[in-house]
Amino acid sequence: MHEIVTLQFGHFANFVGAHYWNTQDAHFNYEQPADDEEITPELINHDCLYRIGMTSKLAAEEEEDNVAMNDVKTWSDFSRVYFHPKSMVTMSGYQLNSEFMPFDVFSYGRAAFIETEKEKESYDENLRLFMEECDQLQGFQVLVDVLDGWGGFATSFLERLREDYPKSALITYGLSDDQMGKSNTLRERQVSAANEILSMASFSKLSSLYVPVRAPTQSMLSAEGWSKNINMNPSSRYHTSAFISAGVDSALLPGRLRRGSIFMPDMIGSLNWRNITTIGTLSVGLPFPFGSKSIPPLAGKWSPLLDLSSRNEDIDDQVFSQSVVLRGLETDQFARYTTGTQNTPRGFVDELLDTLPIGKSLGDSNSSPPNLRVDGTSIDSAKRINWRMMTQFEGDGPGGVNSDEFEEAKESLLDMYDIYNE
Amino acid sequence: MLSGGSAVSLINPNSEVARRGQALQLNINGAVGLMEVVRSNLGPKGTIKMLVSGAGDIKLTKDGKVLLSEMQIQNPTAAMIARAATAQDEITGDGTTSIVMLVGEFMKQAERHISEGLHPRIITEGFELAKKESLNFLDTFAVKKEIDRELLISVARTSLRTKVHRALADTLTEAVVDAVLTIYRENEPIDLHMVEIMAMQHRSETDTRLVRGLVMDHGARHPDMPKKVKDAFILTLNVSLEYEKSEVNSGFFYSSAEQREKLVESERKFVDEKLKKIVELKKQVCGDSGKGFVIINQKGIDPLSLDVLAKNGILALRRAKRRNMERMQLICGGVAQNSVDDLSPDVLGWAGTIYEHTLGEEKFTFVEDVKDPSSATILIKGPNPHTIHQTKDAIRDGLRAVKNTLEDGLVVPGAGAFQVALHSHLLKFKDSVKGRVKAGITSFAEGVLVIPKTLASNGGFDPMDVIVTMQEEYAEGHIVGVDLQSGETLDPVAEGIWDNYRVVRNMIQNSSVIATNFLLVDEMMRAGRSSLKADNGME
Repeated sequence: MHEIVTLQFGHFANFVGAHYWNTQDAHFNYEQPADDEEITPELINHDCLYRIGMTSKLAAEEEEDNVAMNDVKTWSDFSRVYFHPKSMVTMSGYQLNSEFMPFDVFSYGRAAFIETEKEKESYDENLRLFMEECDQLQGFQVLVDVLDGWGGFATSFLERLREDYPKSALITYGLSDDQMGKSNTLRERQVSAANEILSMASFSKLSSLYVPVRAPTQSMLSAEGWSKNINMNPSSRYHTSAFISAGVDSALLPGRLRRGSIFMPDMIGSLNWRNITTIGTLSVGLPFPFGSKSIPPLAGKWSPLLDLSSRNEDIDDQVFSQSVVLRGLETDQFARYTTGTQNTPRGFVDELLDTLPIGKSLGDSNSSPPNLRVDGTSIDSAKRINWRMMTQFEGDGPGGVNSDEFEEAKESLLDMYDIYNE
Repeated sequence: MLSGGSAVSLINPNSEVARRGQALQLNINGAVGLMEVVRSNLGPKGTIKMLVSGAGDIKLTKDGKVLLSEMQIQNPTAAMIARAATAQDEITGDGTTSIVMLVGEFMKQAERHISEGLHPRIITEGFELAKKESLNFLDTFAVKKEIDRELLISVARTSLRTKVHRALADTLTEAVVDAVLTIYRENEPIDLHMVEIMAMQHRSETDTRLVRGLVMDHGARHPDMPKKVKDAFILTLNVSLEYEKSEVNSGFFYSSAEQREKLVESERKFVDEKLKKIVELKKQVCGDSGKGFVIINQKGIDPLSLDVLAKNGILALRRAKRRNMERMQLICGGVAQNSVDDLSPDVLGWAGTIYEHTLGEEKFTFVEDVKDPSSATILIKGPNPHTIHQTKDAIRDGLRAVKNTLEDGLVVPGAGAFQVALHSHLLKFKDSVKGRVKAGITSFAEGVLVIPKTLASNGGFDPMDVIVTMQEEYAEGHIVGVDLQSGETLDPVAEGIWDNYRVVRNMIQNSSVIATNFLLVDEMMRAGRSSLKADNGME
């Protein structure tokens, strides 16, 4: 059993996670195969993995029964899976969408972690319990909201985690959407941006791969191409999170296959082969535009995939390495697509053909780093925001953003910029 | 000073302000409001509150600390008092409800004088004098007693009975006292972290007990491993026993599956070497004597390694809590090993019995019958999560009460005895002070009586009756507390009702400081930088 442990921090992360677990539930075959040699439709090694999902969620969520799918308010409205009672931890002291005590600053998250751990010891009492259950850990998959305080919370949590698992594979998806950070005033926009930058700086150090993911907006979905086939409302978190979760699910699919699997450490090791390029991007095409003679280019301007990580469309990618997962190929298509430059291990694809529910037509890719543009924009905004912070706040400003911490984050992003520019 | 309206409103006409009288009134209302909320929970006869979280979790409690930190408080004054009170809990472990009561009552008493036109400053000066005098009086009133188990039990019982029901409090009392005495070493600071608290959802809360040893919340992961081991050597390890490393090997590619297999193969050999060394050590110390051998590993052990260990009759636990590694050494002896290179019989610990207990899907491993442990475990049992919660909170407070007593060397007669004595002392003290500050001292003296009054009324007795009887008896020279069974008076010294010295001290100190601060507030305004100007500066 090769387990992937999933950690979710934040409200939107739980949306994505709930879809993710629903999908895993759908994949799961509850009848265990009697013999390993026997060909079974079972695709994914679940068992342990299935139950591991440590969720930190904010308290005081209103429970509403019988909600129509179109007005899902919180993730628990559509989550179908049974969660182990120890897999859910509620942070103490804060409430969702509270006016009185907002949870909107990176450093609030760090403080909240200390408070929560003091009371609940969730690392020892919750996470460790699941880790003990793991026979052969592949790695960690972390979903985290980055525009509010959760980035800080997760940073502190992962620092603790890294003490015990210093070299384990760890992939972090830094999630953001329009509803997450408040942006009514300049200060609120600054704080959101500062949170994102601090998160990027700390997660790119703590993770083997950090993938910023932004929820798709209307303008990103072109009327042409594959996206005309899906009906998505970008203002609904229920919809956008489903889209993201399809990407998250497929990205690590190779590690969950029964046979011919490529495990997380190997996969991440080859994506981030210099061990310093820890920022990656996630691109998704749903459904994937099959049908052309050969496989379309999956990086760069002409890629049919929607890049969820970068924002600036004009700059050309410089892709160091890329992992592509295609689901729903017919045998003849497979033959056509693999004659090109793409070199896929034969067994792995056979496995795909054998087991995937064909017709589901999910296609997406997890392409790895280093989008210069990701760093470029961040660093630009880091500079700009930093200047504003300095003029407005001194020391620990009223926003609670510590200027030292910010300065440090800026330095480390500049270092990273240099790495990618070499 | 400009007349009419607030000075701030000249600077910003939109500011939200509350002016002098109004601000004070807001503070008084907040403080009194919070006091009314927790009033009914004070003392052993206090009732309990039910807290329901948004996610449907239920907590039943009358512990002030739990109440104040879990309640959703919006009033800023109340929130500030709640924070100060929970800080008290962090320092001393008890007295949270009392602080809230005292602050509320001080404010209420002060209000009377202020509404008659007395400046709040005069009152606060009186508070200051009264506080100093109270602390001096506390030093003379506290009793220096020889600290033995019996006294510690009295103190723990006094604290615990205010948090949980009687039967449970009496069960816990002995457990917490013995736990602290186990870890206590003369002239060394007491580290309460050395008492592990482990919860088990099983039977009833009165089955909670002290385990002189360690309880871990996991068991062996191999069906063939022994479930019960007697006379066992214990090896504490921090060594990975996994055949495949789950580490990211950057800059390393395998071009074929065979190459990867080879890498895994060499990794296996490496682990096999480690296992061999462990098994050899086991053979060396156990031989054919039938003694047991147990491994507690902080890192992982995969199924293949478990198999090897099981075949050699070794019980192995993986992914132990880090803090349990330290405790294991304190309890069983031995030295934790970070590698298998220096294995020798000297690094092994020993325990008389190690056994596994299964409850549904959960497994527990007990390490018991150890020699001279310097760490212990309190095993909480309870039929449902909220009982376990409640018990856990109570144990924390009980442990703290015992520790405080050991460190203070002083105890204070409880059941309201100190407050009645202090009241009468302050009234005498007032006569020695000249001027208007007397009003502040009277307010303070009346304020402290809220504790015995509330104790009595929560017990179902008339507070005035009880107070008057107590005062009369005190005037005759006895130390008297309130008997919550009969409503009569009792002698707390004879009954063994003792409060912690430092709890009472902090209580007086903190409550008067908070009340003083609130009384001196003359204006309340919404703070925070306006964003109006900043928006113009945006490019």
